[in-house]
Amino acid sequence: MKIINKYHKRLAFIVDGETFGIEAKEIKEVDDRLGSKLLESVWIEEVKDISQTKKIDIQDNKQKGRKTLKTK
Amino acid sequence: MAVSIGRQGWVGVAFETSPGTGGTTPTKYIPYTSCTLHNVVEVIDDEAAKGIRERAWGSVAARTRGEGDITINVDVENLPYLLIPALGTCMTSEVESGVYLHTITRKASNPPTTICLNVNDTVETRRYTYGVVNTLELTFSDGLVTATAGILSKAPTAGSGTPSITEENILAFKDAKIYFGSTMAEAENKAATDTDPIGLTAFTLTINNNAEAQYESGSSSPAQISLGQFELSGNYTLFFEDTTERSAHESQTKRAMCIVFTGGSIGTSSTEKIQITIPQFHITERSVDTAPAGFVTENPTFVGDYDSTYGSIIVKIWNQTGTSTYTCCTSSSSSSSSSSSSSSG
Repeated sequence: MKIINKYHKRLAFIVDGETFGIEAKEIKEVDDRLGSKLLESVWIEEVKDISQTKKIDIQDNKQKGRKTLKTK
Repeated sequence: MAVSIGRQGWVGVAFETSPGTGGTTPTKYIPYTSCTLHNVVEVIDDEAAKGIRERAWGSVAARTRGEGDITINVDVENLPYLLIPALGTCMTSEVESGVYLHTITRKASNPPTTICLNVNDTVETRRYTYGVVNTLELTFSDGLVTATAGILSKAPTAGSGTPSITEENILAFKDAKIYFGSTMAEAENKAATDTDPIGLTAFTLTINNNAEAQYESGSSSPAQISLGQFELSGNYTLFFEDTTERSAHESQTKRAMCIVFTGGSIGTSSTEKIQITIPQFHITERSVDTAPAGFVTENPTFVGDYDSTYGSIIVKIWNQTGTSTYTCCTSSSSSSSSSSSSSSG
């Protein structure tokens, strides 16, 4: 998953005795296990992939189009 | 089972929205040099005579509460989590984009401004809600500036947190300057123009809220924790070079004090700063150290008076944290910027 640091400074997380650093406003890709831990912080937010969301929209539209043809 | 060293523990803190409510997810993990916060359990032994010699037949857990001290190295981002609840009232204005001025003063009423602490002692994490800063001691001599907060809270419950640390500019004695004046305006003017700072070799300021955990039927944890009378005191040490302090003690001269700690640059044209102004104080005691082999120093002890115009203490802190994090702070209408601070860290 992709995450963003909303805090105004670099955050150094301590997860299972190891550190994970992320700069202010930086977006980083992390594995889901680490990501779910980091999301417990009020300053970390998941970044949704906008291009992926658009693809789904197009696919939905295509599906709708097919349905329309079938109806006719 | 594995052993751990003390520095693997952590303390997460956030402001509560009202005493005992909210703030369960920490907004800041405060680096500390000492943390003794623990669950106090006052035990009552069953000592009733029952026909044999043994004194105790069992026990009952009576009054419980969270209690202990946290000592931190002072910086402009972490200190407010202890100083704002110690004084209680905070007004915030944005002086430039992303830079905030917090004006912190003593709260008039008895209900406290509270914090929620999640404390990990390396074995488990416990949550201390209704966290009241009963005492706060700010001190320095020839090292780092430290703050020790004496905390009272409700009895702890299970806590949680994912610690994240930020790098801050910790302050040392070299960053501190003290200015005296016959009035607050004079002391503040000296601070603003960096005129005539007093060279001290040690300084301590103590805030005491005389808070009390109040118990009611139905629970062993406090029903509420209330602030008592407010006391402001301290002492400082300086080389004995003139009779100013002796004279001020003997004639009970009332003076004002302004203590300024300066940190790093923030924003485009601002500086991290903590400015503590005591509008009026008087000296209650004064000792002189005349050890033959040492240089002669004097050590006045002072008490902060209530000034009907300015109160007893005004603390101003310039940092990069806005009211979305310091939820107990009120945005000042005199803000120089109209931009929202809702996304500020």
